[in-house]
Amino acid sequence: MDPSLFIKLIGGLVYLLLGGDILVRGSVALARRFHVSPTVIALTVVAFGTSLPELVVVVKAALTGYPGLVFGNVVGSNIANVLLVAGAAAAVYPLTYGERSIRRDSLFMLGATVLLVVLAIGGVLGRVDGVILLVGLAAITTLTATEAAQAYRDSELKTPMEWVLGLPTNPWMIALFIVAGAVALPVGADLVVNASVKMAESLGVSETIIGLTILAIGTSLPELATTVVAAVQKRTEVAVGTIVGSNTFNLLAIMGVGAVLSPFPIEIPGEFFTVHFPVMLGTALLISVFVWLRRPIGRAAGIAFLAAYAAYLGLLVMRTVGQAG
Amino acid sequence: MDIRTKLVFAFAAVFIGSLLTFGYLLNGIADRLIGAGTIDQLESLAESGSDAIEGIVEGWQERVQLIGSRTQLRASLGEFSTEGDSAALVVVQRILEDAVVSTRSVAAIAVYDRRGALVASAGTASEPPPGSLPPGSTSSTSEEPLFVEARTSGDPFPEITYSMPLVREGQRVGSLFVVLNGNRLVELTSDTTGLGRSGELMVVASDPAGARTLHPVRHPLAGFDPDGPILLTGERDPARLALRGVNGVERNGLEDYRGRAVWAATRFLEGTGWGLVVKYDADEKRAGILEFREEMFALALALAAIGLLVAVILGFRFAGPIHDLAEAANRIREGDLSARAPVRRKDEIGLLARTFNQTADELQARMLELHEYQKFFDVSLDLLCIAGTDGYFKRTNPAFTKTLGWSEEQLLSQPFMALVHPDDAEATQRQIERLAEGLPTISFVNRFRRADGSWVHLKWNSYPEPESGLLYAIARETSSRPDPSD
Repeated sequence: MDPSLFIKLIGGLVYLLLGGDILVRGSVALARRFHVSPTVIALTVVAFGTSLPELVVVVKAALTGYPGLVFGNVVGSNIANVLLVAGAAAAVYPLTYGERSIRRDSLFMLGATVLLVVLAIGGVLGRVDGVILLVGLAAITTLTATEAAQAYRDSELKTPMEWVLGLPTNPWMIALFIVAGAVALPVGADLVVNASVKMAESLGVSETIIGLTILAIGTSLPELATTVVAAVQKRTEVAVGTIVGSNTFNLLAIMGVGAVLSPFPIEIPGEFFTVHFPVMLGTALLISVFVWLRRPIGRAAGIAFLAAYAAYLGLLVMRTVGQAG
Repeated sequence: MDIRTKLVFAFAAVFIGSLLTFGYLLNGIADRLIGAGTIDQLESLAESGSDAIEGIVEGWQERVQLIGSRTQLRASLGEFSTEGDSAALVVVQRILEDAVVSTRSVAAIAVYDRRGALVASAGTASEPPPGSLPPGSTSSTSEEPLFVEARTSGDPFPEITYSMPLVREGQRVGSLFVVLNGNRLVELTSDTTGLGRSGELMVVASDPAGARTLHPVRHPLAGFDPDGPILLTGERDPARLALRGVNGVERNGLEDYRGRAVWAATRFLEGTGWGLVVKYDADEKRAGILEFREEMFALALALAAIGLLVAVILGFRFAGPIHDLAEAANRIREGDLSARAPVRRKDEIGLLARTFNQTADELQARMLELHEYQKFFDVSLDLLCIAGTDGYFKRTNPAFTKTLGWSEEQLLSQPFMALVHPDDAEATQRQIERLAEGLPTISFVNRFRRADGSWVHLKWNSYPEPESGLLYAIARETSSRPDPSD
């Protein structure tokens, strides 16, 4: 395969992650300048901002007509979040549950997973389905707003934002952050989507496979890094909550916006119903069971998660080879 | 602006800028190379095309010559035209019919006498050959076949007419007209090998409307016979250039019969007066350049992103410790003497942090010491002060206020001589002069006025510091009058 595709994919991911990051920093700084309360900032800019990379990739893929990438990215991300991110972190240090609301949140995630699969049963996901997903998101956000606000107030918003680039204070710097982020995101999405499609072409596999694997892992890298680093530092109380929240957001917000913005209903490749949806439901159920029993995810479970992920990737490769042969 | 941000943005600007410049320059080079390649291609196609047409034309000429060079034909024609011999006419007719059957590509033949009257004809041309020689050749006695016209009506194959004077013993006896089938010309132009998706080779002739092709075209226009030749009426059609005698390649400003921008090579074909056009759609050629440009642009951006990542990591690794150092310095300035910079590195930045921390340690120790002295200064029962030789107190301790009743502000704002009893003023002045000379004062007693107007005897020990001009003095309240012996 052309090595320039890897360069483009990696470069695109860098633009997505850095672009999303500086856009959030710029927006947070702007909101502070206008004396918007930190709680509102946390619930809007930061919550949406950290998922911007996935969002722009999905929108780009939907607009250019690669539904396999849209579904592959969202479904693959959710599977990777549980099996890869939680698995890797748990293998380092057992994951426990800090938030009291985690049981309810895991129910939300299960509900969102089932909702998406049910909406997808017709084989296409249209604008109406997208609206339903977004309504679901709005409902959950409203239900949890006060609590989330409380949580954000407690865990000082400033700390992660101070890391590496800090928060700009000068108006020109704020503008630079926002503009640079707003430019970098679509550039990154463009590179990533094009490289993914060409990679699929040159490997002779569907875009779905690329979306489920390379793209999903690529966009999950920052979560993987921060969660594992937190595990090394033995701070694992929020890991499961973050994963559950991120999965819910993926299903409702990213899929919802993708379906609403797509100029035509997104067709869902058949293999999702036979393989990927069941795997996603299974992983959602798996982590929910742990949450419900309040059983810490220990090292053995973590390694088992990782093995399951490897098996899933192996299954994808086998199916691809089988199709090709 | 934060040094980390500065560093990262500077790196990012340099990386993205240099890679985009690289991509832009590469794009120019690619444009030139691909353009040059296309020009070469057009040139060589035009060259081989005109060679092929020359070959076809030569073949036609040979055939005409073969027919016209038959002695029997001229003899019989001469006999018929001079003597009206009908047997000779039969011979002429038979020769022509034989020639039509036996010579490849010949569609029709006609023979005219020297006055231009048709003598005999054979074959299946759509129209009989014209009855006159081309202008300027009527009196010619050279026996070269001459191109007369190419007729393109109806049939996919053009009909090419040649004429040849028939000369016998130096005397013109008539003229021969041969109509040839132009199928080889059509075969040549319908072969699109090496012409890509859009390119074509065209042979064109002048027309009152501008120009016309001698064959069907590759991209037939709607509403026109796809098997027929077409008129080229466009002002910017490359056919015009070819017919004007331009031999070369043009990339700009040309439009073909579809109104598409084209790059074309043109040749003027001597002998027939036709033009040869080899052309590509500019879009097809430009698509390659555009694709290359997009690829380069994307690759440059992607490489720049990797540079960007490096920039962020470098920014974090190098500027981070400096940022931490600055934060620590700021905290110390704000009074937090326990602030220290983290030492994570062994290079100069690490050295700076270590040095900073050591300095901060020392500062903290000094401040502690100072704090201790300050305490003594504050709690002392003796009056402690620093005064200038200018006659003002610079600093007094709380015991002063307690003993004299003046606030520190009042004590510092007036010359202390104003508080000294007038009777002691002279002696005090003398002591000050001694101090100014660098001599200490031991147990000198004078009277100071209290805030309530009463007087207090103070016994002074004072030590001058000549380099700063300050006096360090300690006084204690005493009941006795100054010692007369002092």
